[in-house]
Amino acid sequence: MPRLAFLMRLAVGSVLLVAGALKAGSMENTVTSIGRFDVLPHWLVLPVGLALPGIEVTIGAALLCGVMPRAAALLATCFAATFLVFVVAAMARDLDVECGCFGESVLLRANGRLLAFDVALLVAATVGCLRAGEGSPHEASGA
Amino acid sequence: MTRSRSLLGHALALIGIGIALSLLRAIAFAEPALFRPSTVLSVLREQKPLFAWTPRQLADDDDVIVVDCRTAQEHAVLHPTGAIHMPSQEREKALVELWPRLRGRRVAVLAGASDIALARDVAAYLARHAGVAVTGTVRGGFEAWRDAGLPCAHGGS
Repeated sequence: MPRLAFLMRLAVGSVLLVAGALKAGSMENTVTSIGRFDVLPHWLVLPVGLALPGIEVTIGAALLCGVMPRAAALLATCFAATFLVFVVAAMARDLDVECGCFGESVLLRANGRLLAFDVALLVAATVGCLRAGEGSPHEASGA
Repeated sequence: MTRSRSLLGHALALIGIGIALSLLRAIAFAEPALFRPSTVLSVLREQKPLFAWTPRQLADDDDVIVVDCRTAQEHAVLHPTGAIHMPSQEREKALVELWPRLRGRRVAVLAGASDIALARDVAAYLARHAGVAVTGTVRGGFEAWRDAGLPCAHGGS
């Protein structure tokens, strides 16, 4: 189980790192995508869109390197749950929206496949979060 | 208690580092345009959500105007009854004439089944420039409309 949690954190960390890096390549697109989900108040879209790529990269790197793993896993779980809420909200309202999760390079529409991906990400992040601190070389060494 | 406080501290530290990284990225790597008022306004305008309605939903809703963005030939062969023609290639020209009819309305843009991206493009254009209240596309395009057995007409509109 600790090994599984460790692997889950590596997987979630990789996804967040890649997603954040790709988003950082097209920040205006990220801001627009977040706005089109029509979930956040308009005044919050720009700051969230600007901050999101860096935060994802930081959490992803922290999970991969085993730095502050509990906090990083907890944040990853919160992020995955938030992404899921966005996708469910878009699907429930028949919105035709590209998620912008991986910038402009991979365009995923808010549909069943993206929902399944987000559920998998949430499960992986939750498993990593519940057992955070177990199984990672960093934590095992008492850091 | 101490443990949860340290967890919260770590989480805040990670978020702080992330925000700093993002700002650094935006400022240092040629995205200061993001902070210009014109860009902010354009981003706010772009925020209108884009819907994807099924032909059946549209047929049951008299408030929605269907805009056919296919070519004049395709439109003349067959189009949803009551649809307004706005060829995507001549959208600027067509909008001058159609703007009063579209302003403040709910508009569904229809294209061919293989041209949904074009419909999205036109819908986003209308959201930005025509002052429409809500925009969306027709799921499955014209072929889905026709296959659903919904009313169609020949000729121009």
